[in-house]
Amino acid sequence: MVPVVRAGAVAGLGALALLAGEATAYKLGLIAIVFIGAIGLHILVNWSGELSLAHAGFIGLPAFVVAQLSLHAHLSPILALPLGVVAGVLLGLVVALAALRARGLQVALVTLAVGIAISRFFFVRSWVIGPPAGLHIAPPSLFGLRLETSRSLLPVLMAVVVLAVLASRSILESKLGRALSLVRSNPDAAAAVGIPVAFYRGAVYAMAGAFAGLAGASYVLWVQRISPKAFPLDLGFTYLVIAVLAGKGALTGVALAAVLIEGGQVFSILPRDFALYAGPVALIFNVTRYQEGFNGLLRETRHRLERKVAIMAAETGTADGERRWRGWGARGVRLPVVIAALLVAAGFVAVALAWYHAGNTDQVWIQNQEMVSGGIGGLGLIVLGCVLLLRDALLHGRAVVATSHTGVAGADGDADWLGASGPEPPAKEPAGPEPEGTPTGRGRRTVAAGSKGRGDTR
Amino acid sequence: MSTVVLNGLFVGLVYGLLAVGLVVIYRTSRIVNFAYGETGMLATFAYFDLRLGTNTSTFTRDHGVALALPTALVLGAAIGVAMELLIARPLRANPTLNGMVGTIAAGLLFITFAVHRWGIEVRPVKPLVEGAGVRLLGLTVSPSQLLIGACTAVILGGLGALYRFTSLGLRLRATALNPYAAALSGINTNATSMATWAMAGALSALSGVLIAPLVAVNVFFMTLLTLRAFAAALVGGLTSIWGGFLAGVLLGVAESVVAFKSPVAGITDAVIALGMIVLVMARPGGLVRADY
Repeated sequence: MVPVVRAGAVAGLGALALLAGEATAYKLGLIAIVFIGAIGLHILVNWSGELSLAHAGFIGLPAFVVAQLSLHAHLSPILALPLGVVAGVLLGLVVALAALRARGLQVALVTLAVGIAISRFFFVRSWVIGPPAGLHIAPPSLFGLRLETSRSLLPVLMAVVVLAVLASRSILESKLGRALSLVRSNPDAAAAVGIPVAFYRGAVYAMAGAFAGLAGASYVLWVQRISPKAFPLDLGFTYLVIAVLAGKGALTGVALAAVLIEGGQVFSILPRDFALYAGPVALIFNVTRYQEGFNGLLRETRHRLERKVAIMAAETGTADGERRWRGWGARGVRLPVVIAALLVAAGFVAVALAWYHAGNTDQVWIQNQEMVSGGIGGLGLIVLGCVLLLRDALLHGRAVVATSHTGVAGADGDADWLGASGPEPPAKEPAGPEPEGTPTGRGRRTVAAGSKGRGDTR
Repeated sequence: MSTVVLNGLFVGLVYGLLAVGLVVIYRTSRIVNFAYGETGMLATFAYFDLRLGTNTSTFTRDHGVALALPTALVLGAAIGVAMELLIARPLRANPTLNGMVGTIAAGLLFITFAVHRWGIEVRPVKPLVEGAGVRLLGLTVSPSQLLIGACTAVILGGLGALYRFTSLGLRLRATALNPYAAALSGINTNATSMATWAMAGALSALSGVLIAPLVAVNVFFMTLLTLRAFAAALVGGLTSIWGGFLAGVLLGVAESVVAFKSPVAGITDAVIALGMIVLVMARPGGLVRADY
């Protein structure tokens, strides 16, 4: 269930973003940029147990590099994104030099010094930051299409976010990610096992710099206007709050924390005073008491849900269980189906809205942007929804076939094909609720076996 | 030039004091207190509120040094104790990374409160003692600087005597060396830890009050000073009191000379950063080893 729910949530948010107005799209883009930067710090803090207080500088300096390149070399900001990443990697390597021999504590102090040095040395030089009024970049263009509004630039930014997420997942699920976990929990054991601890720690700082550079370049791409005031020192602390609140685990917690903190700031949902005080207090609470962050909360919630669903599936055969769960699962409504239906509906709505907006204007460039964001995006959502529906139907069909062959707890209540029939609970499994966690034949067998066990002990 | 060195020397004395406070906390709790400067900043602003030195003061008359200074010291100590109770004590098992993040958050909290209460503009403050100053070796030493020198001497001497000649000092050293063994020997490590943080907090408050007349004062003034103190403490390996103090003094002098020789903005910060990188690459344990 979880990967499907995740994909569905992401696609749903994407749908909402495409339907949003101009100002909202701009703010969503800011949240996405913070998310990209926070990914780097997440790998550094939660997977490796290091600390970087220079993240604002890691984001700001590559941003200025990209901005200056766009202005002077007439490079489109979209093409300059990799250069921002390279600049961030170089900055990270400077700190990585210090990390080669020292413990995390000394390296953290070094990052503090580097961050302040970047802010007070580079961000006052006119050859870095340009004129006092800030640097202005021309709106980027893609394949000849000038992307002037935020709503038209949003798919580009979303593509960058997807790239960043894929890159970080491939890092974290590889040998490097496993090694980093071990280094975090016990560096001496990791070294004894043969992991090159110093090299990996340096590489992690470089990676944090890479993501920060990407975030800085995306900032230039999105805002097209940059000045040192955009990167104050407490921006680094905001990222630290997001990373620590996310907790160890996947990127879902990072996304949640980024949306909460940056979304709260940008959309002014909470009164500003409250947000400013609540951030550090939540951080202290998380660090001293809970220490698991949002990822921990999500894990706990998922475990509780899975246990509930397993109990529910196990009890479906009995009269008590039926009474308790009838409203939810007895009709066989599956969560992926619901999500897929919503996606298809959202896709149609996006297409309709794009059609309406395009019809109401006679400027070709606006029509083009509506086509890209609403039309093609909506089509993509419809396709995604249909794919999910198809997948669910295939798996469901395969599962039904599998259970009718293995004869576990008889799909139709009769003795199974082995001839054994015992005090089985009456057949409700196939029509009953799918064990949401595993819509495969194997999973259903397991849960049904569990229910058979319960039937035996009754 | 010699005036420059002299000014740098006195600023360096304050850096040294701050570094001593950081080292004292690290020896006891193995936590780098990133909120050390902010503790002193809050106490300093409270001091100036009491003495009507700020334009947002809620008091209507100047209460004088005799009331304001002890209040500032007590406030600094109280903040230190609060941080020990809320951050250092729960993290006693694995203090390092989480402790750093916790103290960073506390520092953020203090600065947020200070910005709300006092705003971010720079304000001049009146010096602690008035007077014309003293001529020493052909140079004029202002009364504020004399006060800094005197206080530093008294504090360092007192601290050294405390550590070496009193039973409290013995307990502090034992807890710093090995908290578990100290607890097994019957030392109340909770009380010792709290006493250390209180002492360090008061030291931060005193440092802030002493240096405020010499630098531009706004709510961020201690944060920038404390960065120098971190660099100095790092030279002492974060555990050597004398190493940290001497490094702070040298850093103050060097910073003054560099700022005088090349007025490139931000050059000192860049040089400190590069120096710290080189130091940590070459000698991660610091240049001076501590003796407990």
